[in-house]
Amino acid sequence: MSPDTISRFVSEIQREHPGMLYTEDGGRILLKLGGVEFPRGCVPAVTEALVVLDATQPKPRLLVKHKPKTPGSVDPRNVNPEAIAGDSWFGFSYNIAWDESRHTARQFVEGAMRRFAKDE
Amino acid sequence: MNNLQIRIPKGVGQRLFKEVIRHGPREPVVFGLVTHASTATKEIVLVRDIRIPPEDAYLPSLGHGARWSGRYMIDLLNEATATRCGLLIFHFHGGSAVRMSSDDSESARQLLPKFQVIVPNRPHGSVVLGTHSVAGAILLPRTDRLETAFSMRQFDKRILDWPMPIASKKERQLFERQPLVRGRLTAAAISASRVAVVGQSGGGTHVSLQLAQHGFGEIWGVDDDYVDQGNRFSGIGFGEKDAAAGKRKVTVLRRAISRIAPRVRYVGLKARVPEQVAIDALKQADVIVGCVNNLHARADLQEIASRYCIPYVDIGLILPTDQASPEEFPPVRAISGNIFTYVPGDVCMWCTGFLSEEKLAGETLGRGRPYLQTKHGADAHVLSFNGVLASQAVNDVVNLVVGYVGETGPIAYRKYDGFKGSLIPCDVKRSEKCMMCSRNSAAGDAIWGTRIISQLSTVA
Repeated sequence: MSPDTISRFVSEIQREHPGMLYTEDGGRILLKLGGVEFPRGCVPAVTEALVVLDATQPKPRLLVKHKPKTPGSVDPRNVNPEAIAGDSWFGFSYNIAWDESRHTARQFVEGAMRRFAKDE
Repeated sequence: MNNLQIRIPKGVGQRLFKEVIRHGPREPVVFGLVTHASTATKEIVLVRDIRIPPEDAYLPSLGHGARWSGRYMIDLLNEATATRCGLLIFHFHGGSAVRMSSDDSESARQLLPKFQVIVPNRPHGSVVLGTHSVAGAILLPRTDRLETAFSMRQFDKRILDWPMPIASKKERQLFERQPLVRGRLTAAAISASRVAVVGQSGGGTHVSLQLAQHGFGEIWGVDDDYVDQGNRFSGIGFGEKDAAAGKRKVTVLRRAISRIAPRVRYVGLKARVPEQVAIDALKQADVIVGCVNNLHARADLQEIASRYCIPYVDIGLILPTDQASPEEFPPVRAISGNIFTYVPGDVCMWCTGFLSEEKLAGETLGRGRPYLQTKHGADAHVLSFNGVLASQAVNDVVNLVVGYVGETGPIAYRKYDGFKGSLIPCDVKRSEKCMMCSRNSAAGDAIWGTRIISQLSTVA
């Protein structure tokens, strides 16, 4: 991700989530977002989320504080705890289409959260 | 024991002491750029790096004490703001019961609140060092009270704690020259230590039971697994009935330790790294021993150890086979193991390539792997091989606490060859280019804020 994209991403997220918390951790930018909604039918319905912006990586990463049950009450596969900046978050792999010249931060967050709409 | 501790990584501490004890026209001072961490039992101030004022930063002084220019101070505060660090001012008085002078105290009362206005979310302090003692004043974030009761931990050839326990000259000599003798200082150092052992199976059972027999004060076992008929042969202490009853590994170990060492407190954590409960527990450890079977867990443990300045001893064992072989039972090519002993500030697993992004990416999301690398992943008789590695890991823990190795200090990396029965030390060095050392060393807890402070602030 280019520094310009990272700057744009932070600005967009800040507008979408005015209570966003920010920190820098060894070259990475970490954004903590409250009240991020899981897809309809997931339990819990909302969670705290962490966005990791790293200039050495091609796209942002989204991690969630809670591992939800999917709409079909399934424990989602390959959602594993990860230690980031001394805290535990749940990371997951999801092949989200990301074109940094085109996509917005909102599209990224919503797209990543859609992983939990699937009962797998 | 008080609940505020300054931790200084290896290398940083040596540079600091070399400067503050330097003879010159005035008392030399050294500034520490510090982060901090909060645990359930302790506040920890972590020295990330130090700054030694150049000669032209000092101003003429009437007494022996040091004065420095406002310009130098502003530069330092700018750096502290940019790196989100607090400032500690170190100087040296010497002696075994050092105290702040009235000038030191007055200067701390004036300066530290000003530092706090500029960097409010990190601690600031003034610290005077003695030969075996430390004194000073520390202003923690969100308080206006100067804390004067604290200890200091430096990582060198072993863990060095200030103030040292009061002891006679004979007791101190015995501890320094024959630290494995069960003298008062050795027993005190061991019984005051809390060791977290992650993984309570093959290597972890040996480690926990040996630490208990040594008399370590607290052992925190981290494992969420149960004893079964397959895994009970990889370590010691798990009985046939435990497997039949499906008991938790930590439950069985707590029972065994309470029998062999009733004074040792064993805390069994039914958790897996990096779950939050495990991270919160590990932050409170004096030493971490990792007996895990995957690289992701090692990476997590390495990060926790680096961030919070906790020594970390890692062991691992594997019996590789030719997995491409068409044979049903391809021969075991080796019995390979490792012991990696990380001392904060020194070479880490990323410096050596033991951990890398490629290796992590290559590890399946299923993570854990069996000892024997076959298509069947069959259980194997590895108990005694684990025992060799675990015994050396416990040796390294004992060495970190009492320093029996002497001049050379801990060996960072040893390879184990189970066919030959050999443990070979490997020459590894800290890489100045290691991104993980740069990111994590003494990084402490992240400071979250609504304000964006980097160069992004001009854009965002």
